[in-house]
Amino acid sequence: MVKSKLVAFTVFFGEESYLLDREVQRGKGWPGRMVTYFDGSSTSESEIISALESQSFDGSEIAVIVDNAQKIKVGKEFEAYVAERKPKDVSSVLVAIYRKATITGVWAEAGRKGRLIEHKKYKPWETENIQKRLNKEAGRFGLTLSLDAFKVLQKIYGDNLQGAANEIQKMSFLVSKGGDITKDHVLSVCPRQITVMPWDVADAVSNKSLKQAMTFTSLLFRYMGDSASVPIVTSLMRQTERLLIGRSMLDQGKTKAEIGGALNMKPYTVEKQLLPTLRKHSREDLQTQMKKLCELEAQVKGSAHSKRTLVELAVHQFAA
Amino acid sequence: MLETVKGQDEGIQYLAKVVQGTFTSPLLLIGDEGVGKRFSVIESAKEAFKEEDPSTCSQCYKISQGIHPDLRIVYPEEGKDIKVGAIRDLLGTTGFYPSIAPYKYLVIDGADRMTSAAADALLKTLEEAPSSVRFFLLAEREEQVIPTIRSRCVMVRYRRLPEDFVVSALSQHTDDYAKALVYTRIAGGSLGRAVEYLGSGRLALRNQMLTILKMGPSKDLATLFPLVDNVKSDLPQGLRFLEQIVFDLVMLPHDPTRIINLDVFQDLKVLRGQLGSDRLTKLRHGLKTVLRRSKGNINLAFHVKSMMASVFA
Repeated sequence: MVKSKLVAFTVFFGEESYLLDREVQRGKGWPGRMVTYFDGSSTSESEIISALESQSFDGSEIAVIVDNAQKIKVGKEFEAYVAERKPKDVSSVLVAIYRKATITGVWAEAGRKGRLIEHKKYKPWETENIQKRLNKEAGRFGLTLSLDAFKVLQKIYGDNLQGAANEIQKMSFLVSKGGDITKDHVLSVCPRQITVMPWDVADAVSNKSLKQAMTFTSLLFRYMGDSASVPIVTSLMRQTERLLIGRSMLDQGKTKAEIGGALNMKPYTVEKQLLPTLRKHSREDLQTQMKKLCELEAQVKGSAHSKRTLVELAVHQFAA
Repeated sequence: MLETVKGQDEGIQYLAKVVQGTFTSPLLLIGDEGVGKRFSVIESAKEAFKEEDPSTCSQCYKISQGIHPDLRIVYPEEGKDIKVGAIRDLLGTTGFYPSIAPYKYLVIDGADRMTSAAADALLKTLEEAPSSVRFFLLAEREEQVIPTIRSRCVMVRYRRLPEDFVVSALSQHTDDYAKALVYTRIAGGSLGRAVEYLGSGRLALRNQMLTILKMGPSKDLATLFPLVDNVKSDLPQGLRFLEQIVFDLVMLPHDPTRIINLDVFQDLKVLRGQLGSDRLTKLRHGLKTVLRRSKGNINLAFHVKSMMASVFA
């Protein structure tokens, strides 16, 4: 807390929870003040007022930190307290954390009387703001963040600023004070994450890319555990059904436009993506695959012992 | 009153004994939906609670209105099981004397749809039921009622109702005899189901399933699969209709009088010719597998599509 701007009420609001958490931690360790902490989900307005009006044992000034202020039922008692309280009287100060994007009512009023600070959660496309904030994070450790490093961080963490801020903190141990955080620093610190979705497995299976299909399957099981079985089977079912429709139409001599119409695809996509895939399958194979998927679904959603093995065997069989 | 219950002689016999007070054991009434299980229990309650003058009998009026304090019926919500809370509430009433009737009628309509906790909660009271309480458990599937409940009850089977009886009952709702006969047959001897089907125009769904089957020989999967998707939420019921259509196709050359879907006789004849015996056998086997699997949480539409694709390959 900056002493020169000290006022009776300081209200933080917004949805960037790591910044709000940081404010709570800073408030809890306020030097020279007796700090009382309340969680809004289990406190009332009268408890807060009584804490603000009490006196410390050693005569030190008082700070009351209220987290989750949006959960407190505030009534006339607190409204009257806020209205009567002089902003310059800092013998006891209230720091409220209001965890919502917008603030209204008595908390907004308290903020206006004192300080109202927003910690907005930026959208992924608000790149400039994200960059400013990450630069600020680097500045906390006396570092600067290069543009390349920022781009890599953004690619990995997107709008997860907490994750990016944690990485910057880690990098403060690598880079000497006043130094510049580079792309290499980021790559050496950040975990390499590969995002795999169930339909990636289905795509790899339909392209008969065995190695890729098995890799994606094992990655999904690593990230999701046994619960990956059902989404993988569902995506395989969807893909097989579409391929069977496409293949049967191709066998019947239907045009690209007709196939695209039936599968809701543009003729260009049919020609460039679907037809090469369809040519790798026969109608009989797809029918057998569909039949096996029915069995597999019943097993995976039933009480089969090793669902993962069943799914992996099926993926292997279909992609081979 | 009990004389209004038709076609369930065994059930009436037991319920009459309950009314006379010569039979106090819990009764487990097993039979299809809509064959008169609940109706007969309610009628027996009217008979048991009736006052001197039946025309001014307030007890019968309260039973008809569903507000009689000594007749409690527990049944599951749509698509759900009977929970332990509902059974505990019901059992909570056994500690009190009946309010206005000689004894309490406690009915569990869906004894095959109780959760295991609910069934367990019932056991003790069922074994040592207070003398002022009569228990009636109604179920469609005997095997779904846990053995410990079955062994504590006297089991009475409710048969499917005779065709003539259901047709004559349906004649109150429609003048068209042929239509009434078809609804009677697709309802499989269940008056309740026949009335429900008639009211909701279920033949439309049957026709949808027939269209799907007719599309099969064309091998046009791009048209066939969306037809299956259109049925989607009604597919469990649609499969039952499909089963009946397949039954008709099998029966057609042997005993046409037993055909269920009489109104589409000509369509069935054409379809029989198109399908042939091999495909029909495949279809029967495929349908059996899908119906067996449909008890689990599966993507039914996909299974039906797979079946159709392999039958009409």
